[in-house]
Amino acid sequence: MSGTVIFFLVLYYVIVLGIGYWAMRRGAGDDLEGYLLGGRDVGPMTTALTLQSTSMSGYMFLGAGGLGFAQGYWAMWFAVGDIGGGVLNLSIIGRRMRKLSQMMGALTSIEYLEKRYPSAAVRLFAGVLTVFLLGFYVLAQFIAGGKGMALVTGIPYPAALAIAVGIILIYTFMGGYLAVAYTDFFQSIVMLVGVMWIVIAALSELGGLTAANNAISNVDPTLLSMWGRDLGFQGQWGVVAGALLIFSVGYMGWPHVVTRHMAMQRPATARRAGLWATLWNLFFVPAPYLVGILAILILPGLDDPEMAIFRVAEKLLPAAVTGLVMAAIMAAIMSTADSLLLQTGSIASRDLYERFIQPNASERQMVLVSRGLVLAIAIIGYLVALVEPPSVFSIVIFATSVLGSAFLPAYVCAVWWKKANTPGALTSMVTGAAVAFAWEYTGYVESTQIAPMLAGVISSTTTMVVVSLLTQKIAPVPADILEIMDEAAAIGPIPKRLLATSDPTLAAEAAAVQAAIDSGAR
Amino acid sequence: MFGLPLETSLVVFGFPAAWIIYTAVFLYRSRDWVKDSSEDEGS
Repeated sequence: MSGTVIFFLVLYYVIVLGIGYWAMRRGAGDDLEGYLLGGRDVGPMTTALTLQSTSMSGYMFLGAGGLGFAQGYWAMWFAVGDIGGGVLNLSIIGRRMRKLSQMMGALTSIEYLEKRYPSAAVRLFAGVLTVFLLGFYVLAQFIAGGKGMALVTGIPYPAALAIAVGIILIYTFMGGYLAVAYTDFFQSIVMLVGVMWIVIAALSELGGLTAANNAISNVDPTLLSMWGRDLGFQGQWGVVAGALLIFSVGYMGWPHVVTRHMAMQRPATARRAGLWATLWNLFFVPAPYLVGILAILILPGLDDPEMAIFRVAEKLLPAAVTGLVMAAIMAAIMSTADSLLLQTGSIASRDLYERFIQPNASERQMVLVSRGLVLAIAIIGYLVALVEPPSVFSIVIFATSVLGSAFLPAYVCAVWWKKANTPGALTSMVTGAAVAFAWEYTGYVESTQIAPMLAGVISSTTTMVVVSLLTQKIAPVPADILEIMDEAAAIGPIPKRLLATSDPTLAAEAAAVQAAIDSGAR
Repeated sequence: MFGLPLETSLVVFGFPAAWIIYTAVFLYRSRDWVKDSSEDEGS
């Protein structure tokens, strides 16, 4: 790799660290709400882009390109679902989750679940499952980051991994959620510019999209179909539905993604964030798949399909632009990794440590514990990444399928269905996780031709509905939760009495009001 | 379209068109959400 490429990568890291430092100076890490949710002060464009870049991991540059190269236009099933993932998420649960989480005083997406479905078991199960799966997910990002860095710079993998993990750690530490959100914003722009540059270069090389498709048809006409190479997926509607669902509806069940709703500046932020998400997705999402498809012509002898985008960039672009593209690839990996790390640390500290081990921890202590856990997870992740598990992207698909299956009905019903109760939510989470896990590892995908995500979501949703209805009499939804659900649904400001009793930032005011009432009564 | 079979064109261009329409409808139907914004002054 040339010095120009390395220069652009270093420049990229310097800018990312500068943004993290700026977020720290804004005082984002002063208290727990500031550290975990950026003080609930994140605007629409940043909300949209952190939502999208967190969702789009290194998979988009390695897995998506590889899929396009191997299967042609069949890969576009994933892209066309993914394009609507952001707006679907924001329109269905964004506004209501923002209001509900503030009224309940919830600071993490797992704490939110316990307050909506009151039970320590809900928080314990959801917390442990999430920490476990996000830990796997972040591990995959570390490995991808280390490999990408090693490829770009030529330095040995252990050192490259240490640099990638170290940079992610530094800016996650500096400003918490706000640093992550603003660096995600910058990184999403880099990702978009980088991938569009490759698309334009590839299309120019091949004489345009029509000429490229005609040439692909000459290689193998089935690559232009929606059924894969040699029509291998023809009639497999269960697999197609899984491809459409995993990155569209599935996002609503990912705890590290729905946290973005809780951090929005105001409930209406979801509107313009939805618009930005669709605009960004329309340009970004199909591009890596398309580059993979075009690589069939540009790099006919490519031995590793997952390297398609790297190799196309290397072949067609000048060194300076290749540096930008490499920065974009690292951006995709790192913008997911930092969010995962922060969320894993937050959930482990607040939802497990504070909730079950040290209930009297102060907010300052909690920030320190969260940062300590982030460091511990990063060190463990680094050590495990050195051993190098067999397949990075099978881990990603496994983790995201189980997360979506376990939590999708719980998050959607939390704001939309007043009969969704604690037994329904708990059994739904357990069933969704178990079915998705079993589907993946017992060969049901081959025998049923149904994706694990689809099987998991159908199971968890059915369980939520059936168990909630059967247990309405023995476990009704508490009246105070029904009241705030009505309030979350209603258009208008949240009444101060509901904010004052639940919002931690107004706790002092609530105590003063209560004292005044008490003294008046006496 | 662009040298693609009709079925592929319908999926590749139809779904994004549907998401654009969905986003437009969402923006229109949620236009009164701005009334949520003055929550700090709630009564």
